[in-house]
Amino acid sequence: MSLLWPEGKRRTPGALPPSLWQQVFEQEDIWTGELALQGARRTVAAVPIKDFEFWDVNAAAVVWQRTLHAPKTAPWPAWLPPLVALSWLLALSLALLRREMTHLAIASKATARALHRPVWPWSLLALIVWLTWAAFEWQAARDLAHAARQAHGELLAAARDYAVPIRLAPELRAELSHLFTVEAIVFWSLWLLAGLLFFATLAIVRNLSRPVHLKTALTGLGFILPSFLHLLIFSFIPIAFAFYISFHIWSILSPEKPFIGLDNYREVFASRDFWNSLKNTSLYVLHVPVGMAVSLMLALIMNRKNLPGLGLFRTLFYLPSITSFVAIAIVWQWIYNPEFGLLNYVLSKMQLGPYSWLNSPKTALLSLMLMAIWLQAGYQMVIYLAGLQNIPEYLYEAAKIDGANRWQLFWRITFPLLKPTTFFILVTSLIGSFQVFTQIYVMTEGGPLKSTDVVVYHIYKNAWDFLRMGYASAMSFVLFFIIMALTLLQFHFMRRREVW
Amino acid sequence: MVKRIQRTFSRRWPERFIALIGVALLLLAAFTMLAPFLWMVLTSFMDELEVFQFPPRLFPERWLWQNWREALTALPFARFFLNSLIMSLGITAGQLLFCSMAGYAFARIRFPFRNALFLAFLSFLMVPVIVLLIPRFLMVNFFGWIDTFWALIIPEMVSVWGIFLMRQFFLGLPRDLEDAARIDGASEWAIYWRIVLPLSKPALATLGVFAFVGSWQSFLWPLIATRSLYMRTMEVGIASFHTIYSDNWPLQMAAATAAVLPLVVLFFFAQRYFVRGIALSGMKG
Repeated sequence: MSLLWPEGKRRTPGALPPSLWQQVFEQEDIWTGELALQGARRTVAAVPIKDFEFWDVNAAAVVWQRTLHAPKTAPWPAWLPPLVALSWLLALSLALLRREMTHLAIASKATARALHRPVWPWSLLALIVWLTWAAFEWQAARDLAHAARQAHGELLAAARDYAVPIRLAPELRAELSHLFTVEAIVFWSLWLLAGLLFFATLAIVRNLSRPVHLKTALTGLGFILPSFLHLLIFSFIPIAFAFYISFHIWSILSPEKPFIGLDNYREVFASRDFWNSLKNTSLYVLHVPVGMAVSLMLALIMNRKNLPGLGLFRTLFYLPSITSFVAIAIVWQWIYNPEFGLLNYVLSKMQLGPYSWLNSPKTALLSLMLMAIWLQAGYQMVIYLAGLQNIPEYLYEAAKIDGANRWQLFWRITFPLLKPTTFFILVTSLIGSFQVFTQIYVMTEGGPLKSTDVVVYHIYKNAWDFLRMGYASAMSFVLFFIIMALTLLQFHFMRRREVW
Repeated sequence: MVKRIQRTFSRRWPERFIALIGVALLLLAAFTMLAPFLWMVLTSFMDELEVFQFPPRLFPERWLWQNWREALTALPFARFFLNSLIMSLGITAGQLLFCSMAGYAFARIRFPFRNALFLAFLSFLMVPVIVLLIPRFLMVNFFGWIDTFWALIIPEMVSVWGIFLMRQFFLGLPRDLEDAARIDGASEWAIYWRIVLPLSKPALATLGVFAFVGSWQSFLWPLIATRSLYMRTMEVGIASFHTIYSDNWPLQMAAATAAVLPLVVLFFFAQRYFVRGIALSGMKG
């Protein structure tokens, strides 16, 4: 990436060949072609940089690709690995289905084992091959994304004096799309479909093998019907609709909603603001473990039989999580006031501060995290208390007879037995914190300098302030996948919760 | 004898000491929890300029009750309160009926695809609100419901969490009464309506309280689904008050206190249902 300027203009790191300059000047749009630059012919894109009124072309930025370390294309056709992987999946599902059906037919174990022939060796090989290919692609795409980001940044720096529309060179955009080829999409959809079919067949086989009492069945379905219809209309269809929207340019104001394929998703992953919001959100959720440590400590102190006023304490701690979040956000904004706020006053008594809290990009997110700990401590503590009270007393007594001290009691009995509780709190709080919105909307509006711009707020902003609902939907799906992963993790661990 | 005293002493005093530290920490934490609320109430009675001084005053010089009148008449807060109440009651009623019906079917009635359907229902737990926000808004807009109570209530009338909670509770109920009724020839609906529901008042109360508080606290959807000032809910109303009176902290605190108060009152009356809800939702181990 380098910048070239026509002679006679300001800041001239290198001269643009007159012919190219002429073309860019006349075309007033991005020009792509081959050019001899720094001793080699390269495919470049020249971006015209216009003046403040978008009238005159003042300069041009030339963008080209750096040499990449990874091969740009895989040595085999793109459709091969998905095909191999798909057949592997199919074989696996068939094998599993066969096994399930054998179980249903109450066959002997020997028959089941015979039917369940290993499909592993060659399918594993296929998986490895596919993963290698994917890794190459991923590396190439990452390098390109990096180059594109750098190009973008340098353009911005160079064009500081001009109001210019900055666009990435078309080649770079095309290269970025490697992650979202048609083959990849087809592959993943087929995978999903195969999985769904598999589970559907399984369910049908299972249910049909039992006798069905028609009237009871209809009654049961009738009881479910309102909820089913509601979920269908207000949850399932909206998800499908959001998916549809995410492939379009969608604004409520304009009647035209052109289909743009995967462009929204490409833009999401290339957007600095989105990565920034994702980074902020990831930093923000780090308050969860800290808050949990605090709540666990409080719960341990409160888990005593002879504690006076236990109910009162519990009420007090639980209070913040049931009151109005907007009101609490307003109160904390006043507490965080750098000049007249309560917090700086208390800190000044301890010879600390003053800090500017919400007004500085360095501390704004931290302030929100502190407040979140305060907000959630009670809820987490009540759950911990419930978990603590389920630990049988005899375990402690036995350990005490064996001479265990407090420290050992905690680390050897309390903490391991609280593991399911801890995991439950961790995941539910993480899911909640990934979706934080109200506090941001009321207290900081994403500022200062986008330091508290979290994902949900960013999506809201794009959908309702910039009227870019397609782009916002694409972003919301990225968040969806993060939260889905967390929830699946929770289901997985909840199922195998150990019972003592 | 001496040895025994020594042992008792040495075993007792760290216990006492640790307990003392614990209580001190607890008191500190309780104070930290309470302090923002206290300061909110105290500030709401102060003069507009009185708050801008350092060190801040803890108690107002004169208790200005007119702050409250001024704050609560600046925007139609009575109307906001009514809107919130109607919305929350509507959502609560819907969730109580539909969630208990579905929960009963999932817990008691045998029908094909029961477990598959239950899993499908549960899978909606992992859908973040933000994904549904845009399409729901467009749909509600298409139905012409924007700025009506339909938009506020109907999309929230069924909660998967509520179905899960009710199912867990019904699974724990003894079957004997139902079976007796079944032998007497009662229909499933009669069993559900006459026998199961009256037995499950605690679970219904828990679900009701959670649904009420949850919908009262909801912010993003009412913000989007309503447009005119007279359809705003309490939360959205307070937020817009916050933007309008951004420099007048006493008035803001008065409005904030007014928003917190109904929920606090509700909480003090319904406290045990919150605790039970936590125990019911699968955390009992």
